[in-house]
Amino acid sequence: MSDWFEPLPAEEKNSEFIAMQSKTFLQEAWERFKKNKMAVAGLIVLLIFTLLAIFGPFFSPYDYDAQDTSNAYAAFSAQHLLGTDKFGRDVFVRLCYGARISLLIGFGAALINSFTGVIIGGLCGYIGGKFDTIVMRIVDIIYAMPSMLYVILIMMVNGANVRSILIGVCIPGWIGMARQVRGQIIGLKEQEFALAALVLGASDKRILFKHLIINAIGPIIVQMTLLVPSAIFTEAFLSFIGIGISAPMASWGSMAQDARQVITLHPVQMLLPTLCICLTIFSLNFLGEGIGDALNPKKK
Amino acid sequence: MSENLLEITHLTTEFATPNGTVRAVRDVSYHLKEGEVLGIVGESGSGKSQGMLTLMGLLAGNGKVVNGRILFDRKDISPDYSNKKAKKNYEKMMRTIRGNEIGMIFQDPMTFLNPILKIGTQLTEGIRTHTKCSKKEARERAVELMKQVGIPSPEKRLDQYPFEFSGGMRQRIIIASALACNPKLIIADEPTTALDVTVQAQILELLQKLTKESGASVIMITHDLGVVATMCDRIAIMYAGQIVEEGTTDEIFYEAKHPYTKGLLNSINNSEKEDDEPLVPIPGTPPDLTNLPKGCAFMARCPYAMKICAAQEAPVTTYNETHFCRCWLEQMDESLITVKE
Amino acid sequence: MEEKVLEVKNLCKFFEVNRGFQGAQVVQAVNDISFDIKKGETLGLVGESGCGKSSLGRTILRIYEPTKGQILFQGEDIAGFSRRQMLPYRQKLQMIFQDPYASLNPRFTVGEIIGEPMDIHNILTPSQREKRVQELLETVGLKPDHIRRYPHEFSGGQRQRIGIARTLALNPEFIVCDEPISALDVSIQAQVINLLEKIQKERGISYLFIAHDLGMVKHISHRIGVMYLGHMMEMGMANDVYKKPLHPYSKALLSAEPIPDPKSARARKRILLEGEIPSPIHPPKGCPFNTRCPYAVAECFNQMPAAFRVDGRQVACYLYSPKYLRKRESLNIEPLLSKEA
Repeated sequence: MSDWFEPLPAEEKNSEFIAMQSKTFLQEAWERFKKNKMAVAGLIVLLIFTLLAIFGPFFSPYDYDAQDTSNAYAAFSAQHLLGTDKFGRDVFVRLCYGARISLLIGFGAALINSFTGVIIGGLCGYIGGKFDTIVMRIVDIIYAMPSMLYVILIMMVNGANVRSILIGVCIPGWIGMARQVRGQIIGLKEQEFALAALVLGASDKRILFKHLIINAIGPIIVQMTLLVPSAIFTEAFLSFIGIGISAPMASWGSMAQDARQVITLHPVQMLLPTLCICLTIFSLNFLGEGIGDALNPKKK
Repeated sequence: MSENLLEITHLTTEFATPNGTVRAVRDVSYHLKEGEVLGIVGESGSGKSQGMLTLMGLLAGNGKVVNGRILFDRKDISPDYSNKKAKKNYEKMMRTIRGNEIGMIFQDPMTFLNPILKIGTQLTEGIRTHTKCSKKEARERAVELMKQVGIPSPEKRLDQYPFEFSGGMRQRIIIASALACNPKLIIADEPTTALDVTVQAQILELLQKLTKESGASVIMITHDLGVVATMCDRIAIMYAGQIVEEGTTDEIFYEAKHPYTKGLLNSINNSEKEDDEPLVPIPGTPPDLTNLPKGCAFMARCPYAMKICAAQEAPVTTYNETHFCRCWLEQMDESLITVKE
Repeated sequence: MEEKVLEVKNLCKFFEVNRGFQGAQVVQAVNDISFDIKKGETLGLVGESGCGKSSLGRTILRIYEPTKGQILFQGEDIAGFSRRQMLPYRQKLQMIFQDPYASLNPRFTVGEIIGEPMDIHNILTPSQREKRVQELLETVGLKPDHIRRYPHEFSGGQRQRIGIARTLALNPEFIVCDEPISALDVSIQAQVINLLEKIQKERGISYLFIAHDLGMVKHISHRIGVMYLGHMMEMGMANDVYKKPLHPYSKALLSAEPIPDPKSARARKRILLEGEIPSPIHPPKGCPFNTRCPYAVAECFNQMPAAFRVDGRQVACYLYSPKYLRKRESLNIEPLLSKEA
């Protein structure tokens, strides 16, 4: 006689089981991100550029402005890894410095713009009413002028350097982020968990930062990855038309500008900086898309 | 008894998800006679809607019919995705059946109606896809349908857009469009869940009246035991993708056999019940469909679970030609046990 | 049951909507509502969507600013309190929300969610808090080791219990339950109802229980109020209202509820109301129910009736005004009271 018809002991039932294994939001996002090969490739390329920008010049005996006119337009060689330009300056070192400027402006602008945008957008969305109306009208006014104008004006006043470009890029740069965050917060603040926090007696600061903005983090990061390439482009464009970073400092844009006259004779001079810009922008776009997909669980 | 309009045997549907295979419908068999109203009752995730979508050939892209045969009106309409040609033929066939021989009523009328098209356009379009008639004839039929479902001044309202109708009125339009081609079978998936109680009563009354008039069979999918008690001739109770008990409405309500059915009936407050009779909830949570237990899916929540329930799926017990139940308690027969200890 | 915990007097909440070219339109979501709740008592609030029952709950908890009227909590009028003044009262007045998926912050762990109220009000040290959170989890039938998990790992019923544990963290004296079971599966609803009843018995908490499921409301409530378009139509002991609704709307509402019992469902005759609920932006003049009321008389179209006391309850209907009761007697018309639907 088997005991198959005996009652099942309670501990074998486990009726309050938990369906899924425990993973935080970011762990899950990272797992989704890892599956996106293009995004991972983009991340690796960006990491290489960052490392080169920081450490590249240390491994080269040359300085970015050390001229050697006898050795102009040298080909690739062991001494000059990527050859030299019209003044005999080492192209590899100059590209590394260019990466410094591009990445500094790109990520600097993204960070500053994100911070401003999140704070202003968050406050507008949360407070609403008259405050929101007034701030959003100011935003409209700033947005109505071409953004390049701000950069050029600031550079005329402050001189052509990284700081001016950063300030110029940051005056209108936060608007997209602010609008995005404002929309998110307006939607989230009607959600029941925000009402629950209010009923529990949470302060406005706590509700806004601990409950609302943290739940808008996905769109914020995606918006951030869009801000980086636009700032890099602005710098490269300004330097290319000759009003950006001034000589002898190297930036990808100004290097391309220098190579413009000799494009038929020495096309490599043009190719290298543009390749760097393209690779960076491509990587950033793939990275941004990858992060966006990873953070948006609806696409699961 | 009249002939079976619909016969489903051993239907099994699976979904591929990142968390594993979800076995949404597991070995479901039932039949439906002409003019009969069958209620399919189950909680969210019990597979009651997925079973219907399988029947209609409307499974989502990651869904797969593993097994099963569907006979509708003596035609074999089993899903066939074995090769490209079979798939094409099957989909073509279903397009002529859906909305024509089988009418559908969904829970949320707003997702079913196109918000930028006039109601009249949407109704006549449905009529003209399946019957050869002129625009004028289709419009006349639409007006007639609107009258049938109790929409006042139909000529005027045909030229309005969905947002100009209230929830109850939209559901009436859905019913009108489901009835447009005089279907033999109407599938109503939670038709009144989104509506208020007094409007729900109106819609249920209307459905009852119209189906009686047209003689169509109805499959009513719902979680509301009150709705099935009022509307249905027979009821199938689903749990975790399986039909655990099936019987006539009286058999289910007064002679329930399966612990889940009994649990459901005990956990609701019947307004007829004496006042302070406590509610007896079913403990625990429905199982994870990607990771079902080896034996009975209800085992973890069942107060009478036995050791065999954790090891082997329960056999089907037949009480009479309408009443079936899938539970070991009803068949304590050692000879049915195939697993080893 | 003597001490009044909460007393609401002539409370109004009007919303401005559609601030457009025509100027602001006003929705009278809560219109001149008065009631009280005693210690350890549950007042059930039923009505269809748009009747203002949720707005009433939210206005009492000062999520919405009251337009007019008094909210007396333990004798103190909190209707005009600033946020700072409200802070100590937040510990005593709490709320359980409808949607168990939206009411828990998805980025917090269960421990952070249940511990948050203690963090806000600076109760206990962090290590004591963790212990208290574990105790609360056990109170609501979850395991203490669930503390580091995230809400999305739980089922709907489990999340609702987490929400209840969060509310209990502050030892509240009054809880607004805003449709806490309507998003849950049938077999889970009874779990939550029984838990709420158990907590009430142990701690003497008073509930304002808002729902549209009449059967469940009857079960948990001592008294019941029926709302329609911002007005309280009828209020009385739960059993009285259920067995013998007086107001024509209560009668229709109760008879529209599907009974999960086939025999009584067949025996019953439904009162089917004409039409649907009017838009709250343009409510009818007089009694808001006059567009659908089968008994409406001339007065109903002029002015909203006051609440008349009949059989120990309040009914806002002219049919129960002394004048009409007398008239009915003199004409020897069978009074509405005994005319059962």
